[in-house]
Amino acid sequence: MVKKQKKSVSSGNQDQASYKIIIIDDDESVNRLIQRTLDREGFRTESARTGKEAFSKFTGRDDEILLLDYQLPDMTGKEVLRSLSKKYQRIHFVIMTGHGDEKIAVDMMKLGARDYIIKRPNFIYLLTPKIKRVCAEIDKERHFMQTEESLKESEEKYKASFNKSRDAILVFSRERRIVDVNQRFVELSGCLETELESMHLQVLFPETADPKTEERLRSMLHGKEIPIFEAKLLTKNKMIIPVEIGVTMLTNCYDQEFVFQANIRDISRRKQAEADKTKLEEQLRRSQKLETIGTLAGGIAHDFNNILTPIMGYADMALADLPSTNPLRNDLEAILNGAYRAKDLVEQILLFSRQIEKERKPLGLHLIVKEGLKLIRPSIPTTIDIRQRIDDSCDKIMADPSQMHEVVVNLCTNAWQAMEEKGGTLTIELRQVEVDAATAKSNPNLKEGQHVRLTVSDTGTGMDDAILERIFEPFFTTKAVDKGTGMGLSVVHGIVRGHHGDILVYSEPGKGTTFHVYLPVTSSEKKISKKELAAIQGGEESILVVDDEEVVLNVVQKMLKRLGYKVDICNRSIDALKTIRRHPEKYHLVISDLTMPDMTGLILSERLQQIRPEFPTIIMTGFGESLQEDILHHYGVHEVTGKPIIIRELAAVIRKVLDT
Amino acid sequence: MHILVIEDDAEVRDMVCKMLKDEEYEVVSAINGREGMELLRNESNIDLVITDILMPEKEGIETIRELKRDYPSIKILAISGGSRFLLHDFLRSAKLLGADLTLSKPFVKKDLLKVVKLLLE
Ligand SMILES: Nc1ncnc2c1ncn2[C@@H]1O[C@H](COP(=O)(O)OP(=O)(O)OP(=O)(O)O)[C@@H](O)[C@H]1O
Ligand SMILES: [Mg+2]
Repeated sequence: MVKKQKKSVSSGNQDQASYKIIIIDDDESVNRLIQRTLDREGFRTESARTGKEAFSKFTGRDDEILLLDYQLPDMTGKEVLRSLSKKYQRIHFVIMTGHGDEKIAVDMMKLGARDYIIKRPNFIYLLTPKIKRVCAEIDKERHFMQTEESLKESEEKYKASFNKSRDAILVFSRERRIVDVNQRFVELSGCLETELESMHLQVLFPETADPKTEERLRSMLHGKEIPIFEAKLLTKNKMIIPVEIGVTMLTNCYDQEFVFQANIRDISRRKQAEADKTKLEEQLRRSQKLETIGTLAGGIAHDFNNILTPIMGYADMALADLPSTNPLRNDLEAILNGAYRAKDLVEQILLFSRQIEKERKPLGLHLIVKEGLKLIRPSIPTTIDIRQRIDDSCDKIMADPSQMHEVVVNLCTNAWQAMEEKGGTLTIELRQVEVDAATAKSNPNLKEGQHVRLTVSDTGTGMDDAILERIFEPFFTTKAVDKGTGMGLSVVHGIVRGHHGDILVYSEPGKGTTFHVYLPVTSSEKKISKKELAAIQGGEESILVVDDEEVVLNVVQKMLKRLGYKVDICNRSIDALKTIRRHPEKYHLVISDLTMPDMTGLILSERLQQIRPEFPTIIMTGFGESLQEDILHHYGVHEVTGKPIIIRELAAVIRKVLDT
Repeated sequence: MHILVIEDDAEVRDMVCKMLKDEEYEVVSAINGREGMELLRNESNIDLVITDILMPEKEGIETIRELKRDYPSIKILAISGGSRFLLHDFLRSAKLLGADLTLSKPFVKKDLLKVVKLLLE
């Protein structure tokens, strides 16, 4: 309390010193008397004797007060004011008149005088309080104007930030009706500003009308802050945009006691990214799970084959030793049959875990698909309509025909089995498609580029998420014991992944299922533009290419020639060895396939090293063939490049070998 | 004809030996690659080695490499029941490294005799 009083006292003094009183009176003694009195009170003063002199003293500042005698030698007070007011907007003045001139005083008050003083004998005693009152009045006005100004300023600032804000802003009343929106909100909602006027919030946010949100808004009335929350904005063209909303309460604006301001941020990108990420993680988790099962299955398969070996071997030998009449033969045959069945099953497990790698060759998948269909057609019930859309002109893929056959048969069998009860349509489609960067990114198992896509869809039972989750696991089945072992799809998965492809499923319970199998086409068909080629480094050295596959030989030869190399080809490793023996210095480099009938690439490399130590060799490996570093070193292989051959990679590997 | 059988699984080993002995082959056996190589150093008349390629002591793959290096004239038949490791087909590797033929488990007598005859012709 004490403190506050002190402060007000000191500010009182300050107020006086902060005003300058300009005394304008031609009566020398009065002038001096007034000046002395006011000086004593702490005012700053100046004096003038004429109207003209007054013009030169007055500067128009807001802290100047004219104490103006009406009758001046050169003009009247009225005239002084008239000419001053041409130049200045706000002039504070107090008028002094002689006794009997009250009428003039009243006139001057009408013109804006702050007060008037009648020069009676003791007027000087009234002067100080009057001037002080005027000062106080001006003080008050100035203060008011200042707040007004800063208010206006902040309002403008607010408006600007309101409209420029990157967040969409929405002001709404207690009744949930829109009071104001910014430009960004207009854009986001897709509505016109006029349409938004006093619209109810529920139209835009159908989901936020829940009791929880109501409760939150109510708690704000009690001064509680509510955390930022997520909601869905329904736009004019019925799009749903995920948004993040922060609500604050504003008091005394928009002519209302309080309104709410909602800052709304479009988070659809973030949401999309999050969704993509979860999807990716999910995929990864699933494929890791399958890999684990594969490893496990592979291990079990090995031991199982060891166990089966004596069962099968001894049963077979015993059977051979028994005369054809011996009744034990039946028993032994049953044992042998069981063992064979077990052997088949183990083989399927190994297929799933991708441990059986068979020979691959360039293959037109359409032939296999047609052949497979022909084979299973007789077993498909007639209530099922079969449609085929098979593009014969697809590029070839590097594949094992019998495994591809298995893929087709398994997928089609599942499809018709799903429609067995009610019938439906089985559609088989084969097309060539380009996997673009975005698709490749969201499916880690798919690489960018040309693929042949086999689609098998049915209009059968479909699957729910719980089933979908597990279909690729070995032994997962929903079918009766005698109908399915649950190995079909796991084998398909193993084969497809082993061929560097991927399998995608879409299914809806009661509607049907679609399987897409993507398999990369052989590089032979891949076209590379001149510009791309120019960016790849070539050379002029002589290279010998060895492969038993004519197609591969031709492709690689073509690629290397385009890169500027001199190229010879050879389809037998033995012949290649002979050629080099005859001309050990002719070739700078040998590029060889790994698996060839009479001599593998490794052995060829080893022999080449004997002819000429450090003979540069590059081995081309097929799908899934991995060679350990030490083995490579042992056989003198310099580098390895994978099939399908990609010109960019090949070019780089060649330079790496030849330049070091 | 003399055959060395290297196999760690006793039942499989005994069976293979029996199948071969029934057909009048001279058979010796070892339970791992290290023991097999030792045997070879003392018995110079071996024509064929049948080796499993997943053995604890000395992996069959190693054995094949050493065999090829030290005894280039001896034929090699690799047998395997798949592998414990994902993405690695040992039978295929065995062939790449120089095994003359491979045979996957399980098999019956005539499967075995067919490949053995082919190699010893
Ligand atoms: N086209 C489909 N429509 C509906 N469900 C399917 C379809 N394909 C597969 N499934 C479901 O996936 C499960 C696993 O399929 P998978 O082919 O691996 O095994 P299976 O068909 O049950 O037995 P198998 O193929 O070994 O005879 C099936 O039991 C079924 O529940
Ligand atoms: Mg099936």
